[in-house]
Amino acid sequence: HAETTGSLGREGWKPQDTNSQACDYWRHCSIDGNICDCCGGSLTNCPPGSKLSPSSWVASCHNPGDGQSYLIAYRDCCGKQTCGRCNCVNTQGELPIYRPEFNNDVVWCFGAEDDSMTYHCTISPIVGKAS
Amino acid sequence: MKTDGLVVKTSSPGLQVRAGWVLMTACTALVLAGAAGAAEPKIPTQLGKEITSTLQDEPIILSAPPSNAKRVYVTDPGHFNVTSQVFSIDGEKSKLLGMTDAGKLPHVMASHDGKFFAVANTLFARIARGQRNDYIDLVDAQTHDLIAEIDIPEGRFLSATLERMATLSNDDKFLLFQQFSPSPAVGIVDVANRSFVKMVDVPDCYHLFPAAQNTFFMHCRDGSLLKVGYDGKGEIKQENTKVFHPEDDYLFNNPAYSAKAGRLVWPSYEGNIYQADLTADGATFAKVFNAFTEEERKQKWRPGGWMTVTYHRPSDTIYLLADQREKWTHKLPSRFVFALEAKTGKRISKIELGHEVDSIGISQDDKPVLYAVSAIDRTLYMYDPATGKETGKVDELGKAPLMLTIPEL
Repeated sequence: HAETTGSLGREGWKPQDTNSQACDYWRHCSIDGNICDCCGGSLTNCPPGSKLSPSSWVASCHNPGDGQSYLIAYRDCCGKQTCGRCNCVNTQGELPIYRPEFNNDVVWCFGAEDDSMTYHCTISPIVGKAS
Repeated sequence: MKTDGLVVKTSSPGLQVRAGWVLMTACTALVLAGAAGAAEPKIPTQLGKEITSTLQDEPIILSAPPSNAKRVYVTDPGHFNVTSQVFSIDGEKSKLLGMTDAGKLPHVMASHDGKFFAVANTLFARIARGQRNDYIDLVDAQTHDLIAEIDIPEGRFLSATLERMATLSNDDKFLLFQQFSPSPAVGIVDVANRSFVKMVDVPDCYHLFPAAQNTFFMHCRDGSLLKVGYDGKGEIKQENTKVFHPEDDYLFNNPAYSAKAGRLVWPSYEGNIYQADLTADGATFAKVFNAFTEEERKQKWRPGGWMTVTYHRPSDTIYLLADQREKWTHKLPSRFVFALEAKTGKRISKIELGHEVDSIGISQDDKPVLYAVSAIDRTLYMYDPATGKETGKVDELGKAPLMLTIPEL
């Protein structure tokens, strides 16, 4: 079961901390694309055969479980066709292209092995606490 | 500039033209596949005469009518798919005229004479991996045949498609495209001579707005515009304008720009409308206004979508895509369009679209069609902006159509 669930609406962001394959999982607050956990990867790991990018955009996401905010570095898994499953567009604190470190439109595959520049999916690892 | 195994290499990698490459590629592919002999399509020999029998009808390959002001190109990047489709549509008759294939996250640019359109492409040798190849296709707006292919360095900025990350010059003689990595640069392509000229270094600036006399403008991180003059050899002169917006008023990724008027119209997340007139001499900024009343702002009216603004040059009118929404939902579709006098900010009308719309555009004639594309519906809707009435639609447009390109004849 990887049907896209928890998609953002105009009524705003309401994060949950129980289902990491849903768009409204707290760590996905600025994800754009596909959740790697639905594509053979996991919340923080790339699917087999893809290439992990060392570069990322970031966002500060609120965890309703512990009431803390964390900096998430969205790293893309690259070198394969778009995964297509669990497609999410979240934009908490998402800034335009001229502020690329907070922009989720960029194909963030820079530095991935074999110069892979095709988007497959995105992982949501924590960098640290956000203030 | 890399070439994969199926594409013919030329001796001059810096200045190569591949008009007629289709035939060359086909030949090479056949040779590589070990299929010796002529490259003509073969008819299966085991089948009878019936399959090539004489017809009473005479099938031909159609040509689209000449592009008029109501031609609109709808691009479906297919949610970051490795290939894309460009749909040519007659906006007056709501009729699909033809299609063009494109690569990953393409940029589609309509020429200012309406005779051709350019598609900046990226393809990979092995579907989503292997050697990358970036190139520009020039496509005839009637026949949809390839006029030429121009090879460029593998420098296209791959992001969700932004209209102004690549552009034709006002005279259609040059084409400019943006590079992001490893450092900001602009590629200059000589369209008239079908050749790549040079990558030129620029500061931390984005978008390309062409002005007269080989000039273009970019928008920089510091909140200024950058004016760049260039020539056919890649020599440039650059100069920054004043800072015209504060750091915390975020400008959407897809502003409206009329190359003919030199008018740039740029909304922010909170509905402030910034405008500038761009000429070879520099930028003149207009007074900023907000698209909404104080009451509407309290009721959470904000712009939102992908191409959230369009500008009608003949009537000097701004159309803004908006809805009631919380902050940080700025990329979700909207159901309304606000028409505003560009000069005064005065509200002309509020159009209810009746659909979840991502991008809007408008034809640049006296009785314009307002276009509204919905990725989720995979449909382009047409409206009469004077009455707000829906006048037509074209559906089944790919996976997630998002971009509108409208020739400014």
